[in-house]
Amino acid sequence: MTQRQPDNDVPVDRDRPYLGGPEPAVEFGRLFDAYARPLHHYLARRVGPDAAHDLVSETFLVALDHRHTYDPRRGVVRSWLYGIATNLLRRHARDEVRALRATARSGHTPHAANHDNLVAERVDAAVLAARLAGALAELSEGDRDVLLLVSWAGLDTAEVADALGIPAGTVRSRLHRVRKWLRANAPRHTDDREEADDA
Amino acid sequence: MPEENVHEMWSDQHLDAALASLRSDVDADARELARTRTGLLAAAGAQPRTPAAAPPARRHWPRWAQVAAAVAAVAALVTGVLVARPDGRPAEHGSAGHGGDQPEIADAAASVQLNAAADRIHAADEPLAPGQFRYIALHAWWASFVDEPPGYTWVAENLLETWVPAQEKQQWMWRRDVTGKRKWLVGTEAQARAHGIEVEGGWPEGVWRAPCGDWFAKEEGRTPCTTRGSWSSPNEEFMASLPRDPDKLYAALRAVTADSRKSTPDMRALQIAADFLGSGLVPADLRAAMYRVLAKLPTVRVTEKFANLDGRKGTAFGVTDQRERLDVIIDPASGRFIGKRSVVTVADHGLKPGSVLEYTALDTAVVDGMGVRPAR
Repeated sequence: MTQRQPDNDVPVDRDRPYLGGPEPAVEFGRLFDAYARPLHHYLARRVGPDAAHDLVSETFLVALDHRHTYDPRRGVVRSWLYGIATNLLRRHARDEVRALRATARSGHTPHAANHDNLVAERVDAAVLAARLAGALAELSEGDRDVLLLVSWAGLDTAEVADALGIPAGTVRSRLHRVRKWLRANAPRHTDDREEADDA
Repeated sequence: MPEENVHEMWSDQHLDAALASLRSDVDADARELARTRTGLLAAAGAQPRTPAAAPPARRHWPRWAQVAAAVAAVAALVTGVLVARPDGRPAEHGSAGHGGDQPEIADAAASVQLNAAADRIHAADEPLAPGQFRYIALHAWWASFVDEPPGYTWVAENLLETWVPAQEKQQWMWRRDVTGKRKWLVGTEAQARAHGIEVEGGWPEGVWRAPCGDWFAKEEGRTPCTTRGSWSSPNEEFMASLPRDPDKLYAALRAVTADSRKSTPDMRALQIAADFLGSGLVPADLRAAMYRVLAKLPTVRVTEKFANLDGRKGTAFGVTDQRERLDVIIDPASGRFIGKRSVVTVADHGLKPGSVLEYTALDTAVVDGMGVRPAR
């Protein structure tokens, strides 16, 4: 059997490790130590800590099983891991939307109490967050991924492009469009709707 | 209700403040992360006492539907051969109640026959004379999947042989050979190669020697024989700690399958039991007790009365979940554990229901030295 070796021109470093070696345990131990906690934090913000633990585990197992498909020339390993996680996250999309709407409902009351004051500046961060949650629930999964990979996971647009397998220009334009829509629509998400339709 | 804010527009700062505060207080359970890390490293080969184990991501192959979906995400990074599936196959992960008709008590036929097989096991294993080793051979066909249309699935033959000394802390030996034989279940090798798909590799080959079968202790900077045993990496201490009373052993197994979210609890229990028994390390009395435990699983069925695994015949006992059936195959005459297999139950990605996807056949013997194979 041939054991593939890193090509000489591959810039192998911590961000772009060679994963195809004969002792994956060492390299994956490093990967886990570097990325598991931030990945968990990102996923927990999206689907809650318990589901996030499962997703972190699955992400690294998938990565391990497909370590030969990671090409350091094509992107940093962080993008690759977040790309895997993003796809695994798909299964939880409904739960995510349901939880966002629940958060939106929880932030409704302070705004109502404030209505004759009508100054958005006074609305505290929790209320902003609740309104944002309602608006996030309206986004498509792809739009939510782009926005939150940047805002919550801290990826830059090139890394998001690598993670999602779309051009960087598309990421930038999508991000611009989503942010503009949220700025206009999040303030409206005072959640007056009945929420029986979220099943 | 007044809607003063309908025409309000957040600034970028407002949006960023809201994004920053929404669910910013989540935190990871450090112990849970540590457990995940341990599991990952075990899966990566840092697996001291299960020399026979398959590469884990392949071990429970139904994960592959998720794997396939996840791989679609990395299209931009891989060598250009994997692309997204258009259908976004839904993967529901209910832990129980699928089918809605799970019985509360074990199936009579499966239960009776598993208990009968347990009765056939001799009270003790053949003892090792000085200089002798327990020889454990695994003949495995493990699957690989590539999701690029039209999709490829193949299985590769692996031979894994372990020589276990009488005293656990003496030197063990492990030989692993990826034979190069492949069987194609979806697609052909010529098509795959034309696609640039790498069909070889990924698995280490060679000969390792280490006390306790702790093959990778050195790479991981550990002293051999310091890892605690578990269901997936059983050692003498762990196995001695397990109760032989079937009810208590059942409870011990259930304790680790109760919160199974990825499959049914019975499937998880059978997976653990199959890997445990498939280690070839389980002593006779514990093996018998494990069969009696399997007899208690409510959804275990006799899935084939005369199953043939690698030329050896036995009865197949299986559990079916949403995607696959896992069978363990036991010789009813001797109680010998013959192996396990995964059977496709749902047409998917070109795989036909009823086809055997993967199997692992176990053979054990007593031999006269390290590296010596039994005469056949």
